[in-house]
Amino acid sequence: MADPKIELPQGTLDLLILKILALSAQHGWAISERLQQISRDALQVRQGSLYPALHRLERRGWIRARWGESENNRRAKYYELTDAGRKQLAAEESAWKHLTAAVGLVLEAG
Amino acid sequence: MLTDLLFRLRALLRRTSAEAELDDELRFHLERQVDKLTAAGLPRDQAMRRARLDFGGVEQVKEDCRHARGTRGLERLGQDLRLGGRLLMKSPGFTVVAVATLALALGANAAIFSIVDAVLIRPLPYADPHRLVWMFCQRVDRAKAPFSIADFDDYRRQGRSVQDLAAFSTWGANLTGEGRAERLQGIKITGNFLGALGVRPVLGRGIEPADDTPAAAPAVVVTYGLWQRLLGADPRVTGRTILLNGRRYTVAGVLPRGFFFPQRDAEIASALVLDADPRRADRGDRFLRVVGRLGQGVTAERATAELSAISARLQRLYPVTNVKNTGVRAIPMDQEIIGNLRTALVVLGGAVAMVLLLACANLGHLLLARFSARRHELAVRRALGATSGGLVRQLLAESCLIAGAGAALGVLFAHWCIPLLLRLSPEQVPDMGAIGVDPRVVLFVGTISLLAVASFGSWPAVLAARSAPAAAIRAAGPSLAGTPGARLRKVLIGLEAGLAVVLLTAAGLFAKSFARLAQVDLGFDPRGVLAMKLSLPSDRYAAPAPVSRFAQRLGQTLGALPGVEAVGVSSSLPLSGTWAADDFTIAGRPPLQTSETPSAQYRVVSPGYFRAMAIPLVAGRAFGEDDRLETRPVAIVNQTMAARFWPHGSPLGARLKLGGYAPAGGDAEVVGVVGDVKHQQIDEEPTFDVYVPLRQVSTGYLSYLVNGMWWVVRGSGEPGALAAPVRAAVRAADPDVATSRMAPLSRFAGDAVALRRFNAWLAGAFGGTALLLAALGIYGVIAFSVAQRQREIGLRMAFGARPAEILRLVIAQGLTLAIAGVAGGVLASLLLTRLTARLLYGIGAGDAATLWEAACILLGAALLACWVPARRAAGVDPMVTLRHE
Repeated sequence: MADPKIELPQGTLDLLILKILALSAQHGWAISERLQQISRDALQVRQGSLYPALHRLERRGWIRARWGESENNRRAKYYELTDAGRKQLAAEESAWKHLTAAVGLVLEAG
Repeated sequence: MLTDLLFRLRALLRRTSAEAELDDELRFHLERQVDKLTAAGLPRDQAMRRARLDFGGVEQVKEDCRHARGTRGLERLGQDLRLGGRLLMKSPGFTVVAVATLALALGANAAIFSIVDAVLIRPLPYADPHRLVWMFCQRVDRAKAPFSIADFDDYRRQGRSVQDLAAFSTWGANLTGEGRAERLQGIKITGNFLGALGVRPVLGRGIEPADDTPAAAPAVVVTYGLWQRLLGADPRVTGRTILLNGRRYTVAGVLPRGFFFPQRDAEIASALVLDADPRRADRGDRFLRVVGRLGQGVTAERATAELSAISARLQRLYPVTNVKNTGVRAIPMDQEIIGNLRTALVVLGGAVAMVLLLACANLGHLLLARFSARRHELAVRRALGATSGGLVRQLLAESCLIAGAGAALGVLFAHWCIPLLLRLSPEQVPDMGAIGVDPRVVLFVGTISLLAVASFGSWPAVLAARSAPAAAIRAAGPSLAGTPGARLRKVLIGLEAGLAVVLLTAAGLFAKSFARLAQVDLGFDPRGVLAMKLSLPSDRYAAPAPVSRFAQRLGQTLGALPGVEAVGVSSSLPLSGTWAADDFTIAGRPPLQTSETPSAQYRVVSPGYFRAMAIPLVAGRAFGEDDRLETRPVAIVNQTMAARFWPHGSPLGARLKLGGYAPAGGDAEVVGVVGDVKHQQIDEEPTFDVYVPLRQVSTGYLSYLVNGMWWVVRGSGEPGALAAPVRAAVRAADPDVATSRMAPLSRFAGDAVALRRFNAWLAGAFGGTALLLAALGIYGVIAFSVAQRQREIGLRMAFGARPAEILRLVIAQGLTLAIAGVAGGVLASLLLTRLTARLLYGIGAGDAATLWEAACILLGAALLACWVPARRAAGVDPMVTLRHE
C-alpha cells in the first residue's frame, strides 16, 4: 500500500493521454481510470490535472472532442486522436524511448 | 499557429457555452468517481468528500482549463477594460479633462499634418516629378527671370544635362459667346510640354507638336475643373469650338482630375507656335518660362553648371541683349514649391510639438495624481490577493481607454478643424474639397496617443501597485512625507511654464509683426475704391486709338454714376500681383555700362488715376487731356527716383529715354513727381516708378495693356454698392470686354497681408492653447499637492498659522517653480531666434518687450492657477482635517 507514487512530469502526461486515446475514444474519467489501472496505481496523477492537459491537447489539435452518451446514459465529453495527434504520438514515443535508453546507458556506465 | 489562433477565437466567442460544458464535464467526472466509491462500499457523503479530495480544487481546475484554452488573457483584458470604464465614469472630472487635453492636442496636430501633407508634401501630378526642374534666367536685377525665344532655342539645341526642354508663357483669354464674357487664366505651351510633364489627357488628346506649327488649326486643352465649370462636364466636348479672344479654338481634350499646370492658376492651354511669333527676332524680349527633365544620373547642380556655361557663351556672342544675364539655375520643381515655406514648416512643426508636449505633461500629471490618490484602494486589493502584475494591467487598461477616447475625439476634432483652417489660409489651395484626415495621420495620432498614455500611465501604475500593502493600509490616508513623484511634479510645472512662455512669445511677435505690417503706408488710400481688371478682345483693340476711345467712353460713363468721385486706369494695380518694368536712361547724363542701366516700374495710367488712388502729387502736374499721341511724350516719376537721380535739383523738364516700351514720339519729358507706392509686397523696398499717359502707350506694350487693364473707381459710399452699375457700364461700353477680379481695393491690400495675418492668427491659437494647458497643468499640480498636504496644513493652522500665511505658502511653492520655468522659457525663446527671424516684420526675434509681456502673462495665469487651491487650503478648518484620520 505504501508504494511510493511517482510524480508525473507534465510533458509525459500528454504522451500518456495520447497513447491511451490511440486505442479508442474515451471520456476524461475513463482516461483517469485507465491511467491508474495500467500503471498499477504507481503513477500519482491528481485527477484534476488531467483536464487542463486534455484541453491543452485539444487546442494543439492533437485530439478532438465531441459530446456523446456514456455507458450509464449520461452526457459525457469524449476525446479521440486526430491524424496530427497520431503523428505526434509516434514522434514522442520514439523520443521517449531514445531518452530512456540514453539515460539508462549513462546510469549503467556510472 | 493559425489553428491555435482560430481555436482561441472560437473559444472566446463560445465562452458561455464553453463554461457550461466545462462545468458538465467536471461534474460528470465527480459523479462517476462518487459512483465508484459508493460501489466499493463507502457511504455517500464520505464518497463525495473523498472524490473531491482526489480531484483537487474544482475552481482551480476550471481556471487551469481556461488557461489551457488560451482565452484567459483576452477574457482578463475584457474584464480590465470593463472595470476601467466603470471607474472612469465614476470620476467624470478627471476623465473629461484627460480626454479633452489629449483630443485637443492630437486633433490640432492631425489637422495640421493633414493639410501640410496634402498641400505641400503631396507629389506633383507629373510623371517622375523628382526629375523635373524649373529653368530660371539669373540676371543682375532678378534671380528668376524668364527667357527669350532665341535664348530658349539655343538652350534646347546645346543643352545636354536637361532634356525635353519645354516652355510656356502666360495667356489671358476672354471666353465669349452665348451671352457671356469670362476671363480665363491660361498658358501657351510648346508642343512637347505635356509630354515633358508626362501627363495624358483623360478625354481626347493634348496639345501636341503637330499643333505647335503655324499652319495648325487653333486648339486648346482644358483642366478638369474648367471642363466641369464652363463646359458642363460634357463627355463629348472634344471637337467643340469655343470663342477665345474672338478666335475659334477647338477643344482638343480634357486633363485629368487633380492635375495642375506649373502655373497653378492656369485652366486652359494652347500652342505657343514660336516659329510664327514676332518676338523671335528680339533676343532681349524675355517672356518664356522653361521647364525640363534632368537627364539620367544628372543632378540639378550639374545642370545648373552646364546651363550657366552656355549662358556665359551666349553673353559673349550677344553682348547687347544678354549683358545682364549672370547665369542659369535649374531648380527641382518639388523643391521650388516647398522651399518657400520650409521655414514656416519648421516653425509650425516646432509649435505643434510643444503643444503636444504640454498636453502630455498635463496628462502625465493627471494620471500620476489619480493613481497616487488610489494607493489606498490598490493596497487593499493587493492584500485581498490581486497580483501586482494584475493591478498594473488593470491600470494600464484604464490608460488605454483614455488614449482610445482621446484619439477618437482628436480625429473628429481634426476633421472639423481642417476646412476651417483651409478657409483661413492665404494660399490658394487646389482641390480643397479633397483634403480630409489622412489615414496615415490617424495611425500616427493613435500611436502617439497610446505611447504617451502608456508611458505616462505605466510608471505611476507600477509605483502605486508596488507599495507595501500593510504600510499603505495602516496609514489611513496620505502620509506626511513627500508623496512619490513630488520631484517629477515640480519638473512638470517648470516645463509647462517654459513651453507656454516660448509659444506666447512667438504669438506676441507674430501679432506685432502683423500689426506693424498693417500700418505701413501703402502710398495710396484704398478706402472707398472699387477695382477691377478688364480684358479687351485683342482683335478689335490692336492699336492705341480704339483703346483710348474705349477708355474715354467708359471713363465718362463711370464718372457720371451717382456717388462716383474719380475714375482711373492703370496697366498694373498695386498689390494685385501684376507689374511691369523697363530700363531707362536720362538724357544728358554720361552713358552707363549696359549692365548698370537702372530699371523702373513701368505703368501706363489715365489722367484721373492719381486722384482716384489718392496718390499724392509732390511736384509738377499730373497727366491731362492734352497729353495725346500727337503731342510730346511725357512721363511722371516717383519721389524715390527723383531723390536718387536728381538729389540736388528737380527732375521736372528732364528727358527720359525708355528701353523696351519707348513711346512713339521719342524721349519723354518729366512733368511731375508723385509719392511712392507699394507694388508687390507691403514690406518691399522703395522702387523707381515711371508713369506714362494712357494715350501715349507704346505699341510694344499695347497688347499687355489690352489683356489686363485695371480700372479703379472711387466713390463716396461702399465700394460694393458700385459693383452692379459698374458692370453694367462696362457691358454697355463693349459687351465683349471681360470683367474679372472685381473687388474693393482694400481687399487687395488685405490679401497682401493675408499670410502674416494667418501667421498671427495661428501663432495666437498656439499661444492661447499653450497658456490654457499650462494654467490647467499648474492648477492641477498645486491642487493635488494641497490635497495631499491637508493634514500638514491642518497641523500648521492648529499651531497658530494664519490663513494668510498658508495662502502665501502654497502660492510661493507654485510661483517659484513657475518663475524658474519662465526663465528657462525666455532663454529658449532667445535661442530659437534664428528660426523665427525670417518670418517677422519690423520686430526683432529677441524683442525684450514681447518676452517681458509673455512672461508676465504666464506668471499672471500661474498666480491665478495657484490662488484657487491656495484659498481652499487657507479656508480649511484644522479640526476637520485632523479629525479625519
